[in-house]
Amino acid sequence: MDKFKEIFDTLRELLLPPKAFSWQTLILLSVFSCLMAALASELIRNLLATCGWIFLIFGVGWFTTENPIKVGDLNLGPWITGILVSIFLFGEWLEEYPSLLFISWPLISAAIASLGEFIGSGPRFKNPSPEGRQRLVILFLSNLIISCWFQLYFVIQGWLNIYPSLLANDFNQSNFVVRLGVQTSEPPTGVLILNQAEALLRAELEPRSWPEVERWLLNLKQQPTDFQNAVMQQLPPSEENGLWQLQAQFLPDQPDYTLQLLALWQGPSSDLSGHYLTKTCRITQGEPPPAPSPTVLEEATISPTPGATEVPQPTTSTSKIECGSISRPTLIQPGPSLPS
Amino acid sequence: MFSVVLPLRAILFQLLFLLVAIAIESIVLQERLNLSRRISLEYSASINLLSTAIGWLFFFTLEPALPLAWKGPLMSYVLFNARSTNTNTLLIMLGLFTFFGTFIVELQGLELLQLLLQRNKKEEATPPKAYRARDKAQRRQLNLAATNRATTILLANACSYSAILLILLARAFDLSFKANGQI
Repeated sequence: MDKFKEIFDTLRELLLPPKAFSWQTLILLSVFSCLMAALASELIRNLLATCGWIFLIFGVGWFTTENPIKVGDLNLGPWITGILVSIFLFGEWLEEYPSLLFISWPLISAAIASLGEFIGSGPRFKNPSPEGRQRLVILFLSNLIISCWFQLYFVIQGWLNIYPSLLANDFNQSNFVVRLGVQTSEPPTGVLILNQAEALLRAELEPRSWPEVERWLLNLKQQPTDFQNAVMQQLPPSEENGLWQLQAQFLPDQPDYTLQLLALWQGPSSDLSGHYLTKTCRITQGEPPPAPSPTVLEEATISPTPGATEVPQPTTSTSKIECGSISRPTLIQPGPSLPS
Repeated sequence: MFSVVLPLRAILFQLLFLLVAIAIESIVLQERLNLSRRISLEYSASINLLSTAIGWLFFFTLEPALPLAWKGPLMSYVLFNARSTNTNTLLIMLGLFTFFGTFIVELQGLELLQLLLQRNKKEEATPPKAYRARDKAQRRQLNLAATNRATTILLANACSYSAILLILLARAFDLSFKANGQI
């Protein structure tokens, strides 16, 4: 019981204001405002929450002035108060403009830290001495540079958001950035393109009869751009799509129709020349359809049983498509190997 | 999958370069402008921080306006240190441009700083007594002080840029050495 009382006393000593006007008063007021805000209605709640923030900011500011938290000669107090002010001012926009909070933090902190130079004994406004002015210049400039570092982070983050495939690269050589966490193994957009190409290929070929399939494939061989554009148009819109190129080509020394789909990354990468992913599809003639002509068969299967379309391909379609898995990213060798 | 890309190397390099530049330039200022050690250090820190901050602001204004054809190489360089011959030429030109930009900013910065601190009368090099007699000579002396200041800043910049260039070269050699070692 004594122990409990002791803890209680220490707590009370710490929390309860020694004088009517002290930092503990402000913190208590802030807590009180927040409690009231939780109970109040919408409009009052915002007002009370704002009051709570302001009390908290001044309370913390006061506390850190009375008990400086020091690293070497540097008092970290203004930066603690500063982040509270930044959150108070820009916290609402954290989702939309997260950079605003972080960029303003060092500058606001510098402003708080500089207050001491302007307050003379009294307290009364004073013009800072030449030494004070020199300190202010260095204080503001160095904090401006810290803000710039935050902004640099957000600029790089912006690049990575627009071009997520950049993340597939190796960042070790960089003079600017380090990457923390796991390296993603494959660029998502390239995989997406190849899967989309395969889906389109299946959608085009499966309803056709074998001679039509052959005609379609011949057409693809002569004019691959139509197919490539069709695939690219079906992708979810992204800034990055423009930097990817799809190439569909037939491998010459393979039996049947062996179609190689190749997604080529032409954007920035650690190896200048870029890299590509491939997926190879083999298109062969499936089992010949049962006796009647294809049109009759289709009518027959569709009308009586709705589940007929889910029957494995060889029975309903005259072509068979087998696609392999997607290759790991391959570097483009400078020289002859890139087919165009 | 958690993964975050932080510009920590840029920050560390910038701190290193700033320390080197401030130290070297303060020595030059101290020697040439007859300033005390402390004041030359403060001046040098102020003008170097100023030129760095202005450089960043310049970059942040310019970067969103760059066409994709320029942004690609920029991203390759910043993120992967991958440079084509074109990028290298551009970097060298950019380096020269930065050098003169820094010179102008630091010169103006020093003037502004002295104006702000109003210490110039006390701390500036006191010229020889022979010139003090006439008004005309006083003007000439002011001119002389301005020229002296410009030469000093130019010299200080030349020294600090050389030192930074040496560090960069060492880093480049280190990187290429590592790359060759791996292959």
